Amino acid sequence: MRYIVLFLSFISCGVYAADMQHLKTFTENLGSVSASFEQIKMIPESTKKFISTGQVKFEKGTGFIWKQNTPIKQVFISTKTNYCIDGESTDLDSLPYFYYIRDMIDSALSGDLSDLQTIFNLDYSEYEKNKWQITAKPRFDSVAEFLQDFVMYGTTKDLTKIIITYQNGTIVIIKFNRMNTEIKDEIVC
Amino acid sequence: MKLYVKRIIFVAILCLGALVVTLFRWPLHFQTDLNSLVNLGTDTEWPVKEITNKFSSVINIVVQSNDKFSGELVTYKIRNIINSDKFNRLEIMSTDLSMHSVISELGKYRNGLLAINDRQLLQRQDFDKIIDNAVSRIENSMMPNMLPLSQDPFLLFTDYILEIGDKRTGWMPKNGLLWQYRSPYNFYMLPIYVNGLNSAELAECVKQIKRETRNLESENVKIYMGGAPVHTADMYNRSKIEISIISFLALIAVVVLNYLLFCRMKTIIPVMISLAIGYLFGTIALFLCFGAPHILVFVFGTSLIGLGIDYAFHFMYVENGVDSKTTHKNILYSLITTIICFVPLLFANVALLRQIAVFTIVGLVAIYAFIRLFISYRIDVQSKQSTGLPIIKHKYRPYIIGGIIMFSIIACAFVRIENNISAMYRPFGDLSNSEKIIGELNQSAGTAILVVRGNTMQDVLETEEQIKDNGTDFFGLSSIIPSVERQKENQNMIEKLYISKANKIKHMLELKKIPKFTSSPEIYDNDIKELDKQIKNFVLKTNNKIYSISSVPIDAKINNDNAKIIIPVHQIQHQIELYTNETYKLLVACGAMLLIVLLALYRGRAFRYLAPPLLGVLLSLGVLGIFGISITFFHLLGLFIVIGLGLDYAIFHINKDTELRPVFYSFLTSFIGFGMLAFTSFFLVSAMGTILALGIAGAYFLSLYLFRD
Repeated sequence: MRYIVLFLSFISCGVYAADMQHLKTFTENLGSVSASFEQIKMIPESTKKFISTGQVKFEKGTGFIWKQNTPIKQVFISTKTNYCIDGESTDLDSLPYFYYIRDMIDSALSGDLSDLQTIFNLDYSEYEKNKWQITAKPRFDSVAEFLQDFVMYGTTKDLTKIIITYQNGTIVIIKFNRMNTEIKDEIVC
Repeated sequence: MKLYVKRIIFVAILCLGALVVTLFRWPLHFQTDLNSLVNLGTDTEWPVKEITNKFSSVINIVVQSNDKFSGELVTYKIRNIINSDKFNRLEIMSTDLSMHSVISELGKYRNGLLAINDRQLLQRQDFDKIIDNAVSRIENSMMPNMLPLSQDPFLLFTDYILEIGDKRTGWMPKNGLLWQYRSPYNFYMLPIYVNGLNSAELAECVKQIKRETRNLESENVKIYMGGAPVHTADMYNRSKIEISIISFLALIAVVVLNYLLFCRMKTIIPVMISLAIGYLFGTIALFLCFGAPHILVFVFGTSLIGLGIDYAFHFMYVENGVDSKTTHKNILYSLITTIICFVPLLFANVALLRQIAVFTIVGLVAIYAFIRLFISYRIDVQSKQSTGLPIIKHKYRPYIIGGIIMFSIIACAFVRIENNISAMYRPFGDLSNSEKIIGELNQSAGTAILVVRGNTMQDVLETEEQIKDNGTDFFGLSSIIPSVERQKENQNMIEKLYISKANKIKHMLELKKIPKFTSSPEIYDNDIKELDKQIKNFVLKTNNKIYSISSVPIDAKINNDNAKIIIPVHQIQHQIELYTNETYKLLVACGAMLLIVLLALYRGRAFRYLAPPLLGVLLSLGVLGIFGISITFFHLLGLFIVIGLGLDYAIFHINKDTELRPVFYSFLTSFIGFGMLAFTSFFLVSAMGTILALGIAGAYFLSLYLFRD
C-alpha cells in the first residue's frame, strides 16, 4: 500500500521548479490513467521474490483503484475522504506508519509538491531525451526509521518504475505499463 | 456587662477571625466546579472522586482544518504557546511519542506478546492457520512485517502491533500531537493537564489561552476548547460578573428602599455596615470551617441581605408612641426561628448545605449583634400602617386559605423532579458546540469507565485479562503490556509453534535459515520509558492500591469483585438523588424543630405563624409545576430560606402592633435580590432565585392578608 502512495504522491504533483521540465510535462498530461503493474518484493532473510500483479487506475482529483489479481485478489480504493478494501470501508489511519502514507495521499490528491517536500528531500534529474528520475529521502527520523529512500523513474508520458528501499533491507520494485483501455471501475468508496 | 465591653469583645472576635484566616487560609481558594458540589468521594472502596478528578483536570484543545498542513501548523503554534513560561502549570500530555521506536523497543519482548486471535489459534494448536495468515500478510501489499522475518517469521508480533492500532481511539500520535481525519476535516488535539491552579488562576489562564489563540483562527482553521477546567473557568468568570452586577443592583435597591422608608439618606450607613459585617463574619466562618468553600455559597449569600436588612430596618424604624420592646422581641424571635431553619443543614452530607448553613447562621447572628451593640440611630416616624391596606374579613379567610391549599396541591401534582445534572447545567453556545465536537472525536458517547484494582500492577493486569477472557473486549493496559503470567504462557505456546512449524515456515517463505525460537525477557510496565506518560494516563495509585482505567461499552456487564464500571453521569445523578432525599428529610426536620420552638414561643398560635411560610413553599412549588419547571435539589435548597424569611414576615405581620412599612421594604429588598438571581445564567443559582422570589412573595402576602390579627 505504501508503495502505491509514494507513486501517487508524485504523479499528481502540480507545482515544479522550472528545470523539472520532463516531469512537468508528464503531470500536466496526466488526467485519468490506467496501467498494469508488477510488484516485486524482496525480503533480506528470504530467497523468494514475492511477486504480485494487477491493475491500477488513477484519476487526478478523485483518487485511485489498486486491483491486485495475483497471488491473492484484493481491491483497494482510495478517494479523497475514504478507503475501502474489497468493498468495505476501513479505518487505515489506525495502522502504524499510515499517517505518513496518508500525508502523501493527501499531497497527491491536492497536487501540491510542497507538502511532500516537508517530509522528503527530493533529488530530481533528467536523462536521455524524455526521461526523468526522482530520489526521495526522508527528512525526519520518524520516517527514516523505517524508510531508507524511494526512487521513481518516468518519461514525459509515463511513470515506468518505482524502487522503495526500507531500513530493514526490504526492497520493493513496482513496474508499470500503461494500458490502452481504461479500467471501467468507478473510484467510489 | 457594660455595652462598651460587649463592643470590644465583638470587634476582638472579628479581628481574631480575620487574623486566623489570614494566617492559615491565605491565599483564599474557592471551589467552582460542579464535581466539587457533588461529593463523589463517599464510595470508600473505589476512588470514584479521584478518577473523576483525573478526567476533570484536562483541557482539550482541538484544531479543525480543511487541509492537513494549516491545521498542523496552528496546533504546533498552540503547543509552543502552552509550553511557554506563561503557562508553566500546564502540561501537554501527548508527547513526542515515536511509534517506530516504541515498536522496536517492544520487539525485544516479542515472544511474550500475542494478539488475541493468534493466542486463540495457538491455544487450539491451529498452527497451519497461523502460517497461512503469515504468508498472506507477506504477500499482501497492504502491510509489511514489523520485525525482520528471522525474528518474527510467523508475523505474530506484527499482528500484536496491528491489534493495538486497531483498538485505539480514533486519535493517532503524530510528533507530539494527536491527529485524526474525519471527513471532510483533519483534527489535531492537544490534551493539556492542569496542575494545581485555583479557580481564579484557571479562569485567567483559560482567558489568556483563548486570547493568544484567537488570532490563529482563519477561514480554514477553527479552534475548539473543552474539558472540565474550561467549564470551571467559564462558570467562574460568569459567576464573578453576575455577582458583581447583582451586588451592585442589590446595593442600589437597598439605598432606594432605605430612602423610601426613612425619607433620609444617612440611615443607609448603619444598614450597609450591618450587612458588610454579616458578610464578613459569614466569610470568616466559612473559610475557617471549610478551607475552600464553594463560590455558590456567596451567590446564595445574597439571601443575607434580605434577612439582615429586616433587622436593621425594624430596629431603626420606631413609630411614635410604640414600645420598641415589641420590635426587639420580634427581631429576636425572627433570628431564632431563621437559625433553626438552617441548623438541620449543619448535619447534611452535602458540603454545600453545611457551608450555606454556617455562612447564614454566623452572618445573621453577627448582624443582629452589631445592630444591638452599635446602632443607636433611631427614627421616630408617623404610623402609616392603616392607610390603604385592604382587609380580608375573618369569615372569608378559611375559604381562601383552603382554596390556595387545594390549588397548590393540585398544581404540585404536575411537579417533576429532575436529578440529571446535565439538565441542570447547560454551557453557553461556543463551549457547548466545542464539547459536542470533542465528544464525537473522542467517541465518548456510549462508553463507560472500567476501573480494575489490585495490590500490584500484576494483579491489575491479570484481572483485566480475566475480564477479556470472559468476553468483554476493551483496550486496557494489558492490551499493551500483558501480565508476566500471560507472557510466560505466550512464550510456551510460541515455542511449541517453532518446534512444530519452523521448517514449514522456512519452506513457505523460502527463508535462508530455519528460524529458531529464542526466549525473550518479560516486559514490565516501566520498561519502555517512551510509554511512561501514556501508561500514567491509564493508571491511578491511591489507598495503597493500583487502579487501571479503560473505556468499555456502556452496556458492558462485568462480574468481577476487582472491577467496576463507572458512568460518571449516572454516578452524579445517583448522588444528587441521595441529596434530594436527604433534603426532604431535612426540610421535615426543620419544620418539626420550628414547630417546637414556635410552640414554646407562641403556644397555641404556633401553627398560625408556621402556616404562611409553609403555604409559601407549597404555592411556589405549585407555580413551578404549572409552568412545567422541573424541581431540582437546588430548588429544595431555596425552600429553607423561604421558610426562614416567611417566618420573619409572619412574626412581624401577625402581631397587629408591629409596623408594616419596614417589613414591606425588607420584603421588597429580598424579592428584588432573589428575583435578579432568577435571571442569572447559572442554572443552579437561577433555580434558587426563582423559588425564593415566588416563595417569599407568597409567604409575605399570605401572612399579611390572611393571618394578621
